[in-house]
Amino acid sequence: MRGFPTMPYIVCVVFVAWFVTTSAACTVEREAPNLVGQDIRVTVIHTADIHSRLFPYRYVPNSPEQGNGLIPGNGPFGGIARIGAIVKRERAKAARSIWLDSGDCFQGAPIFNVYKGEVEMRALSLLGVDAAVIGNHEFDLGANNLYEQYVTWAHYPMLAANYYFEDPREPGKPKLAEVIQPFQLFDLDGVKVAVIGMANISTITSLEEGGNALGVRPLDDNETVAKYVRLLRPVSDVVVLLSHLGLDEDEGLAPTQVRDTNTTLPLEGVDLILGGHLHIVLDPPKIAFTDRYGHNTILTHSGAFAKFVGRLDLVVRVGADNADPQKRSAVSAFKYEIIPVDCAAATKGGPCTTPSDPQTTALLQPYDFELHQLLNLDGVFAYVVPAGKIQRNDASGGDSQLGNLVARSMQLRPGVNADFAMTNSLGIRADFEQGPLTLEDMYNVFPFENTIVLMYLSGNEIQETLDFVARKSSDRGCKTQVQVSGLWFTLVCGQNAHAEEIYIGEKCRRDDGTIDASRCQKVIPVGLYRVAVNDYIAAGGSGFTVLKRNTSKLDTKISLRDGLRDYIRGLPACTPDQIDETDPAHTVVRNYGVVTCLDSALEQHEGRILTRFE
Amino acid sequence: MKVASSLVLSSLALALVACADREPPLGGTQSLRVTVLSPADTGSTTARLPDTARDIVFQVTAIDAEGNVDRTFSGSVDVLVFTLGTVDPLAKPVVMQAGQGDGEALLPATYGQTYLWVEDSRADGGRAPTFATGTSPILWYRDPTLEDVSKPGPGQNPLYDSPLEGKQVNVSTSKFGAAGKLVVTGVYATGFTVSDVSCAAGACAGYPYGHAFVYTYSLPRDDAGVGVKVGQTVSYVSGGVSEFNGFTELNFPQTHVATVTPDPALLPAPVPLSSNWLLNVAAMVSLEQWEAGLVSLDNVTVCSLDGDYTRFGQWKVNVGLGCGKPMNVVTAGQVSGFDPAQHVGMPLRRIVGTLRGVNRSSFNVWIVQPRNAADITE
Repeated sequence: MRGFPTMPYIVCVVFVAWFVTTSAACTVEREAPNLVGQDIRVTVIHTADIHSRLFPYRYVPNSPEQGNGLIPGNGPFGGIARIGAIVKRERAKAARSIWLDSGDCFQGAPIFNVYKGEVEMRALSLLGVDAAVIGNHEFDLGANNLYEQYVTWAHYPMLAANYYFEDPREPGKPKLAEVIQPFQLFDLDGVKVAVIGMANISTITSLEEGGNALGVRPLDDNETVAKYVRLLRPVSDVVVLLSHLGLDEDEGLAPTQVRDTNTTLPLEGVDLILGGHLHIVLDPPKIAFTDRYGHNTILTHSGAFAKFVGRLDLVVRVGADNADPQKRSAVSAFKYEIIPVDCAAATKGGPCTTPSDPQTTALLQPYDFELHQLLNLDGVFAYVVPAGKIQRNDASGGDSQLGNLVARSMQLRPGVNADFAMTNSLGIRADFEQGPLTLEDMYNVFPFENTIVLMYLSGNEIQETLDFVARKSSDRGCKTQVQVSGLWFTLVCGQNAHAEEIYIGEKCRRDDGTIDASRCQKVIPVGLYRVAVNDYIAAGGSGFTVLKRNTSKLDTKISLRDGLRDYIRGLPACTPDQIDETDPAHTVVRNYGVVTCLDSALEQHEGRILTRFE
Repeated sequence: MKVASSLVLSSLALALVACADREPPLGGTQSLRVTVLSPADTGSTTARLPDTARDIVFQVTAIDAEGNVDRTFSGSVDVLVFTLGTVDPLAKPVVMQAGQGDGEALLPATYGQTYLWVEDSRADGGRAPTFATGTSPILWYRDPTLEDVSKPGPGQNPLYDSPLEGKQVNVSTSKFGAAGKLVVTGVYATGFTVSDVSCAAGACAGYPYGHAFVYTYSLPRDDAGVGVKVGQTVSYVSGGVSEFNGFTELNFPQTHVATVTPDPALLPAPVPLSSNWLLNVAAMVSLEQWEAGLVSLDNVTVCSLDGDYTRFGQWKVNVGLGCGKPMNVVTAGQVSGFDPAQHVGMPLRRIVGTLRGVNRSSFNVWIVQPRNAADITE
């Protein structure tokens, strides 16, 4: 278990002085109301994982999203100017409100690739977000970029109580410690709200290494929460954990039922956890914990990619003494609404009637203009034929059509020509929707600037890597966590997860699922194989340690996005009579010229990765 | 030390200078106090209100920023009920005069911690809302059982509705009280099934609607990381109730395994499914009663594989009504060593598994999901 570094006394005092200053400066001075014993309504606006979706985008909502009100016909979805209008509308319907963001506003659309987070921070500042926690993608362009963007553009506190930053005075070290706070206090007309930031730890693999380039040492979640709750509970009516830990980690802060009353219970004293990272909607919120005095800790998540805004109304029964667990303020009941960010009242092809915040629209306009000048985002280079979409996940849990296509483009890239290719499933962030495929769509699918890396792996190393994949997939519903081309194997999930029947070749499986060894070669332990992977997993990302320690790596610097686009361009073009299903009166050629057609037969799911649960 | 103290004092002084503007005190109604007049005793964690105690008489008082009754407040306020994580509209509004009003509400079926929620959030006769809100003391009702989660309520579709859909539930008690147990009956890659059973004379039995599927998304583990296994008992299972194409699920769940070592003797005997239950939609209510429960199909014949096998991994068996009215089975990814293609047209003596309904919209498909190879007897 990691301990807390000792802060010198003088630093503590300076910190307290700064805290007093900022708290007082932020508070309008007026006679304090007497709210003790009253039920005061506090409205929390919650956003999370905006992922640079500052402009509305085309997308077909999945079944759970439709259940949450995101109806396919109501697109395009998302957009920060619409979020702004929704937030302002909701705050106007509340006497005491606060807007908190659970992180990962960076990465996920081309505007981030070009402006590195500047626009995300400017927009959130303009709209008046009250605080945000650091998400793992805030580090995608390094800690220095986060620092530069934050000090230049952000006007809201960015929080992370569970990061210990290295000494910023040390040359070459990031300066984040100067600007990131562990918590922020707010006074909402007499109701004191403490917000503690719980930044992501699990996904940033490098954090496990001492002296990492981010200059961040992760602190134990439970100890961090307990420490700051001890500090803040006595002066707060509501204690909020603004989290980007992930759902399991949020829930892991305490079991639902207390089994050992002698155990330290960090959530004792926490009223609310606002989570992010997993891109889920938790509606209704759940009671994550109930302490020995009957006080509840409420947990909710509010979706991702700017598709939803969460509104949580808390009834806070104001207590007489927040230092006394029995007399402290507590939330009695709550009301949660998940608000779709869509084009609700639009008629097909007509204007969107959902309002956008005009100031935010004005802020975005020059960026939008320049972005289209630089990248030709609307340029169509292919057409997706299958009704529905070309999916990144297959219903079987095994290889997917889009995953196969991506891996194939890596394997067959001129100069790469690998025995097989492998890329992590979560690196593919969106499906190919039916209709024209634009460069902007490619950024949505591949937001990261990943490249193709070549390396040589022994058969033993392949087995070890795929065993790891099986364990990881087992933890995700037996859904494969890699996509491959030229490689065939059975992924066995369960308590003894492993990979078996590993072969190299094409069309290795018969119709009954068995391997036809006459067509493919079994991977042998002492064999050496030429493998293409992406640079993220090559560096050990997502836990691919076998790849990390490989010494034969060659980074081709060929972007996965460019590689896939080039590969698609080389596929057969649409026939002249192919109808544009999004505009049935015309053909694809008429609307977009001669472009590649991607049909349902292309790289379809074929059992390269067969899953089995034991 | 002196330097440090000076820093604090200087900061305070700076802060005071920075915030020289004074605003008038808060005015108007800040909150609504809800006093329950009847029942006189609203229950406790150990003494729950009876299901019949649903008629609530209450009083609402507007409170100002000084903590006093705000007699300037007149207008109507809305009454709602908070139970299992959501707030639902309830009774007619309460009309307030000079800061006070009386109300009466008949609660629907509610569970666990329940509050009356009163709010002033609508423009009322030209009066702008104050957004003042108040909740009653806790009205303690019993916690829900699996039957409460699964059994459609009056007026609901008997094939696929759950009265608690959209609610967060924590099921920790058996319908049979101390004599009952919550037993894990099936474990799959993305979840597990749990049944409420009563055990006597060495045998355990379930009951209609006393089952649920717990969708874990990943390999099922409890809140302490213990792998969930068939034959274990759980002390609780919590999650959001949803209907996935008519199949009742608990989503984003948390659970705790009470007995880590599985005990096969706790498993209820599989309920033999009658072919008559497939005859028509009305008869399928009998299948719905055993949804997520352990069931068996006896003496069936494997039908030809069709597109449902290719797309969904579902193969079909003739239960006596022909292959046009079959029962579906899913073994892909779960049962190794059994290939339905090798058994087309051949009889199977028995198939055991948990029952899944796909019957929302126009679907009326029932699927038996064997747990392992031992569940299929040739």
